[in-house]
Amino acid sequence: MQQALGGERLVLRKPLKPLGDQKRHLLVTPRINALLDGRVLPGLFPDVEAERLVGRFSAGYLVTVSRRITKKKPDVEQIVGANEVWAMCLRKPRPGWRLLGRWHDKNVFVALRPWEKHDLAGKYPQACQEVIADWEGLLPGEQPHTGTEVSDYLSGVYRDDDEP
Amino acid sequence: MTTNRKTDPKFVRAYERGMLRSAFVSLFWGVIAERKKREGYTLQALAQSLGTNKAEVSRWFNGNPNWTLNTVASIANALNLDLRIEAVERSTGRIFTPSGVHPSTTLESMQKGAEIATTEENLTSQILKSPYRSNEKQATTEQPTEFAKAA
Repeated sequence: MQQALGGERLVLRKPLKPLGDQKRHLLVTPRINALLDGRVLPGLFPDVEAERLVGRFSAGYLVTVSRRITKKKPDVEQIVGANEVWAMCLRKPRPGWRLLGRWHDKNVFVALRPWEKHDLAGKYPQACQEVIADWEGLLPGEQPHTGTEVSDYLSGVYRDDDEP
Repeated sequence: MTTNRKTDPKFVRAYERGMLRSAFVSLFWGVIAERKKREGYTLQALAQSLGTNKAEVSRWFNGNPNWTLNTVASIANALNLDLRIEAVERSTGRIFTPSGVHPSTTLESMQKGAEIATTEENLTSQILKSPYRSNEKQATTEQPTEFAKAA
């Protein structure tokens, strides 16, 4: 991980206005960083709601989480059927974006591939394979963080959308 | 050009408004979740105290409600909470409360603190320059970032 950070193959995505110590950490590829900053799709990004999700996540504020296929609209969801591939769900800008990645540690999410929601439809298996391949290339020999409860993945305030 | 949108005052203001709304939602959900775990508290109970329905309350905590101050006060009341209000002046770190500047952060007390720190700094530098000081390596003041520790 230190090598990936040192070599700037991963960068820590900081909130627009950091609020004290970060409780959670979002690491992204330079490509995702450029996308969020508006250097890839100017006009779409930067986006206030996308920045706010990064801000809420980093500050330890409420994020909604699901580990199942759901009609709810969680902020973070586990991709069912893939080996520890998760998505950070940017509902805006429309039609919505998914930052696919894996947990390196509790509270440390590594976003590796950005997808526009419509483009991703029907391509989840391929997209998840790409994420796993990227992970193995960036962090050779490191296993993704695993858990059985949402609380194994993140602390701070969260809402488990799978609970009744 | 568009990359500068992040420094556009309108963009920053919209972000800060959203984050303040999120702070209230997160604050109250933190209380509800804790009570749910310990005492089996339910959104239904909160809805009843507020005279609204569970679906409405549930939606609040899945979205980004722009509550009025009256609603914030009603939720705090329903949860039996006192809210403390503080404002931190970004340029100085002074803390303002509804009853005035927090005593530990008045300009005078902060100046006094700076004077004490300067005196301590002088003493430290005198000690460091002392001929009696051993040749041991100075400890680095660089602290690992929180992430480095976590990683």
